[in-house]
Amino acid sequence: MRHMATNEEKESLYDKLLLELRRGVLMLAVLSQLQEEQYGYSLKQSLDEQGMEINEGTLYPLLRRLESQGLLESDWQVVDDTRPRRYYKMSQEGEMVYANLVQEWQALGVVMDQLLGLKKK
Amino acid sequence: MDTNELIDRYVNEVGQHLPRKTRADIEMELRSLLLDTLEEQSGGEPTPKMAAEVLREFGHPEEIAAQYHADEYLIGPKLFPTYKVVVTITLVVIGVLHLVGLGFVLWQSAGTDIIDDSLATIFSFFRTAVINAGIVTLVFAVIERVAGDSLDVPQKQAKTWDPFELPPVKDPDRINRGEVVVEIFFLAAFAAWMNFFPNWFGAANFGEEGIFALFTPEFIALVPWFTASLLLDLVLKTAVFVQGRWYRITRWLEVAKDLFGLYVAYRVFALDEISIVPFFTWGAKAILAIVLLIGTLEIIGQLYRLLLGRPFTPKAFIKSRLV
Repeated sequence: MRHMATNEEKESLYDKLLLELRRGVLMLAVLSQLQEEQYGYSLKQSLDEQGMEINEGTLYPLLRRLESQGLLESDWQVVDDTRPRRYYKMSQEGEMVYANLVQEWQALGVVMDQLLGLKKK
Repeated sequence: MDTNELIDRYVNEVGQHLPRKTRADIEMELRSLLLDTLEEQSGGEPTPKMAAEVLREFGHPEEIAAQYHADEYLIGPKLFPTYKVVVTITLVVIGVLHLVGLGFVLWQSAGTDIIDDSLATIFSFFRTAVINAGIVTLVFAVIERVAGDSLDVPQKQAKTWDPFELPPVKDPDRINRGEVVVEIFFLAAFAAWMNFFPNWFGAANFGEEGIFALFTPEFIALVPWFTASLLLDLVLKTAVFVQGRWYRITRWLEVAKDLFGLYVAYRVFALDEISIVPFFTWGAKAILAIVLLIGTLEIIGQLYRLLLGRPFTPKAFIKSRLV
């Protein structure tokens, strides 16, 4: 028999589901902001300002993962005599993948709106 | 403690949980990100309190280090079912051996120290079980590292497979590559153990009285035969692994290998003494008798299937005769 979930368990399950839902979306959001090169903090700022809040502990490791997958490229630069910063930008392969993903996103958006009853058929 | 010291400690702590290869690079980047964030949030005049706040926002050092790792497994989901089976078998075998051992000890002492002997057996069981489960885990972890990727379906096959070629349900010729790799590993390990570490093979430590070989020289003389049987099995399993399933030719080779195995088992069975301890000779002979009987039945079943092209089902066979 299934035991009744406590409020804490329900919250933790909700957090997990939310994390899963956001995972793919965050990747696309990050790519969208890296058509121009940016360093970590400026990227976080620009995402925050547009309403896509993302925790540092998620964002920075995600950048490295996307780079290891060949979608981003990075180098250390010193701009305006500040300390060295790592700048990220979409690679050529990343741009191709991004264009395809944007199309998928649009199609998914239409379908999901219908499924969720957010838009009339 | 000043802000730099705080950040140094945090970065160092994260680094402790990162692989050596990427540690320095991630540490450098993390430091730069923390300084950027702190500078921005403090308007250029950071205090240790603000630094602590920024670090809390970034998250616990172990948590953030974990985010930098890809999904890593000690034993991946493909090998895990086989791992569970092997651990269970290992524990059952250890349990049975301990029960036999206890029986032997009680038989020798005529049951005078039944409580002490039973407790000693229970402790020994747990100790041996933990050590062996650990060894099995290590072996599987090595297999995961070495052969983990080859357990995946090759990409070409994944794209071009034909649903009409799916094997029938309960197809005995179907193999699980993970299981076969494990079998190959244990066959090789067992052969190596018998041949390269003869001192560990069948020796019993009687404390002050020294170490005694449990097996007779006649039995030890048969070790090369055992090895040959194991190597035959090893070559066959490797061929089956490469081919991905059993075919008619490998099934015939299996019959030949099993016949050879039965012959070796029979030669051991026919020895006057297998062990210098009579109890073990009787035990071994009893087990060998069962092995010979089951082995013979299996070979008959295999031949039946190979020659008539249908599974050997004794129950159905007897029923059809009765009708």
